[in-house]
Amino acid sequence: MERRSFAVVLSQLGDIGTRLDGMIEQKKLDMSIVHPLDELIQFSQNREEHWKTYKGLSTKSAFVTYHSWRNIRLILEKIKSRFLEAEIRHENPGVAIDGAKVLGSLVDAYTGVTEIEGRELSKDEQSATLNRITELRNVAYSCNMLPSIDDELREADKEAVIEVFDNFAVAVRSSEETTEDSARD
Amino acid sequence: MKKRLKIALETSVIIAASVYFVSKELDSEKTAKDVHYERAQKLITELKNRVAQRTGVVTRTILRESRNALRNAITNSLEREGLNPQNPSIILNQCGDRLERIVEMLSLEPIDQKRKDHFFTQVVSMYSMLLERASLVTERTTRALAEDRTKLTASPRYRGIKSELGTHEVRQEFRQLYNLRGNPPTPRDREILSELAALSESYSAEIPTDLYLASTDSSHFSPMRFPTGIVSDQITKQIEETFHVRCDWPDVIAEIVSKQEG
Repeated sequence: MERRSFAVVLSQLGDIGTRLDGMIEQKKLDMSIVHPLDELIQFSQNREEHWKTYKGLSTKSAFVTYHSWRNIRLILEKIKSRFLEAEIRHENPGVAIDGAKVLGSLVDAYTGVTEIEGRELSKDEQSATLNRITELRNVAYSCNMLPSIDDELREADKEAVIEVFDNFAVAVRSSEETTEDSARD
Repeated sequence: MKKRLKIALETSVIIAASVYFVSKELDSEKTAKDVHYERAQKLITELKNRVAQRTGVVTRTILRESRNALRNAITNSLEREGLNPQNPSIILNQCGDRLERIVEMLSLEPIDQKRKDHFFTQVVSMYSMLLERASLVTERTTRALAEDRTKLTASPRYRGIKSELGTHEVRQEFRQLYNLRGNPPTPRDREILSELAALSESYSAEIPTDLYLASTDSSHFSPMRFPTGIVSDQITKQIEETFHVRCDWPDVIAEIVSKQEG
């Protein structure tokens, strides 16, 4: 994907920010925000799919990029679903305030991933990119804009996830616990 | 006067409480977790009830190490051929979010770098001294100590059996020290302990404080407790004596926290 596309997407994020500000000022929901959100979701999903199978970089660099796009897409989807729910329930535009709070971190995550996309990442770059995603998820959590684990599992092979988790639990423990005898009764 | 209570969480405890996977989308028997999850969670629950008192604390090094430990375990698992990155991504989100919720209820304590550097040299010296002592724990000295104890307690007829049992007990008694030889502290362990020593000093300069370090790492911090009732805690005791930091398992510390009033 060319840099020009990224600039267009950045401008779309800016447009969403303007719409959110308008809703907050007028205290009224504007559902025309759903269309640009859909476009951004589609764009992020395309990037995510690209990095899911990409073999031209180290597995770690490709994963960090994939994980970033996947989280950007998940949170955009959550913003959209919150808007759709708010319309059905005729809620006041609290959702616009939450959306505006998340948008800043979303832009940070987006610009961060576009800066690193397509090249090998140093450990520091991997760490900085994952930190931005952590920050995005923390802000989304505080605004009730974080997809639940159930949402994430619905699009996955659950058996495979648990298998990976079991291996992961052993790996993280063995990297932490260096003695074979921790001796607890 | 009752002392103030501060509980620092070491990386191993934060990780143990974070590595937990449950979802309505899964069968209940498919719930997965770290082997020390229950122990760690017991302490987390106590600390949640004491957020206002700022009992639970963490340092920047421990926080960074905890995040890195999760991420490294995930990215290292990717090396397995053909792994769908979606699954590790889900797990990183799930465990990473749990870690962040734990960290939110802990106070991130600033550390005086000069004092940390000062204590770092003391930490290095202490572990060197312990390693020297550990080199004395051999099969020969273990047997000799057991035989010596047996002479005082058993009749000549049963000394052989009693001595074998005694050797086993002595081995357990000195296991923490013995293990240190094959598993010396990492630079990370030393750094964490020097930060905790600096923290203990700064707390005590304010008001009398008991500082605990909750850890599931019994090679370098917490005591080893065997089902026989034997406790091996040569390193744990030395840390307390030198740096006034009490290391123990999270469930043991949870009991201490729960017994202390408000």
